[in-house]
Amino acid sequence: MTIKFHISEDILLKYSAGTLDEASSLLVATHLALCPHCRMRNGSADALGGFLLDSLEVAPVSPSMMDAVLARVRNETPSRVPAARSAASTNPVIPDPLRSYLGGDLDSLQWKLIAPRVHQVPIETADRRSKARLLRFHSGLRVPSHGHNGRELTLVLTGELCDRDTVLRRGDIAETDERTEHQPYAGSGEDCVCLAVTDAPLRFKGLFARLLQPLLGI
Amino acid sequence: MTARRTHFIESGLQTRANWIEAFFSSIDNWTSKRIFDIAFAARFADLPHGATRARSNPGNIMVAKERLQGEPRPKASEFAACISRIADDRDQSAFEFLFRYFAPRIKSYCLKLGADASAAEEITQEAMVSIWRNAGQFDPSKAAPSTWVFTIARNLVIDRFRKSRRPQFDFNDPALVPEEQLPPDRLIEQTELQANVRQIMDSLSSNERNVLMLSFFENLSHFEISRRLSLPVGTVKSRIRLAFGKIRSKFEAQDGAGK
Repeated sequence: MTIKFHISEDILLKYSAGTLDEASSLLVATHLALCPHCRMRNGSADALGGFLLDSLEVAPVSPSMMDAVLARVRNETPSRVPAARSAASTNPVIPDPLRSYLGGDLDSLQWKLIAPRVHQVPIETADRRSKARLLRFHSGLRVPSHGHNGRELTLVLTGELCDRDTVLRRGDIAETDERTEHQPYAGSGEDCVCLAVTDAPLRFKGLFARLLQPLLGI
Repeated sequence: MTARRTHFIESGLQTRANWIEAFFSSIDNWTSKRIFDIAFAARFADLPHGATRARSNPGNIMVAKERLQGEPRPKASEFAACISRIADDRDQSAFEFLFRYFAPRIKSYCLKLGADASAAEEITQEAMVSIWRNAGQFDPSKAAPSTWVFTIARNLVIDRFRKSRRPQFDFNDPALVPEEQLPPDRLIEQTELQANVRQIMDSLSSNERNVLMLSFFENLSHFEISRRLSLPVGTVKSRIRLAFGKIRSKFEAQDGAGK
C-alpha cells in the first residue's frame, strides 16, 4: 500500500498544537495509523512544539509545588511500557481511533441508506464545529456535482474514489475548500468506504440534489 | 510581563474558552506552510552542533533567559537519563532536576495560551505528576524529552479547556501500518529529526526566530506582530521571508550534497 495523498502542513500543525476540531483530528489520527510517512511528519511538528516549550521564558511556579507533586507520587511506581503490538489473528479494516468511535469494524456497522447506492454512518463527536460521517458509495456511483461552503476532508478506507484524473485509494486524503467544484465517483471494484469531515454543508449544483439535500442531511 | 499580558488580552485572545481555537486560526496558509518547512527541512539538514548561538538581544521577549545569558541548556540526553532514573529507581533528585527546568516552562506555555495564574499552576502540577507516572513509557528513540513533555502539557491543556477529545492513533492497533513499510531512504530516526529541528531553529538570528515564534506559538497575525514589536508590517513580513529563505537554502544545499 502506497499512500499518495497526505495531510497538508496546515492541518498537521493544528493537530500538533491541539487546535484542530475533533472530527478533523479523528481523520488525521486515522490517517496517521495508516501512514508511517505522516507519522514522521507529525513527529516533526511535535518536535517544533517541544522546541517552543524549551525556548519560552520561564514563569516561576509556587515554591511549594515540587513538594506537593512529590507527596502525591513518591510512593508510586511509574507504570511500565504497555504491552507490545499484539499479533492479532484478525486484521481490522478500520484502524483506531476511528474503529472505537464507530464501536466496531466495517462488518458490524448499521448503515443507513441516504441516497440511491449511498449509505452512511453518522459519527458522534462532542465538538460541534464540524461533522464526521462514514460514507459507502457503491462501485461506479457518481456523486452529483457539488461545491463546498467550507472545508471538506475525505479519507478513503476501501475501494477507489476518483475525481477527474485522480484516483484515491486506502489511506489517501482529499482536501477541498470553497473553491472546489467537483463530481467524484467510486471506482469500479469494491465499494468505496470513506470518512468525510465537513465544517459546512455541501453546495450541490443540480436542483434535484439541492432539493434532496435537507433530507439527506449532507 | 504585565504589559505583555495586557497586550495579549488586547489581541483578542482574551477568553479562556476560545484561546485554543484562536491559537492557530489566524496563521495564514502561507505562514504555516513555511513554518512546516522548518520542521520538515530538518529531515535533510545536518548542521554542525551549536551552529550559531542566539545573539544577545534584551528586546527579545521570546528567547529563554538561559540563552540570553549564554548559559548552556541541559542536553536532551541528561533529561532522558533523568526520566529513566524515575522509571527505574523512583529517583527523586532526577525528578527535581526535571521539575526545575520544565515546570516554569509548562506554566509559561499555559499562560501564553491564556490560562489564568491559578489554572496554569494546576495544569503544571498535573503535568509534573504525569511525567512521574508515565516515565516508564518514555521512549528516547521516538521523541526528545522536551517533545514528550510538550505533548503531555498540550493534552492536559486540551482536557481542561476543551470539551471535545483529541483522538490519537494507537501503536498497538493491529490495523496500524508499521514503519517497516516505509522505504529505507525515507526512514529517519525521530531523535535525529528532532535534533535537526532544534539546530535549524538555533541557527536563526534571534530577530528571525522571534517573529516566527510569535506567529506560530501565540498565533498572531503579521499585523499583531508588528504592533507587538513596534515594527512596520513590511519588516515583519520580510523577516519571516528571510528566515524561511535561510532554511530553504540550507535545505537545498544539503539536498544537493547529501542525496
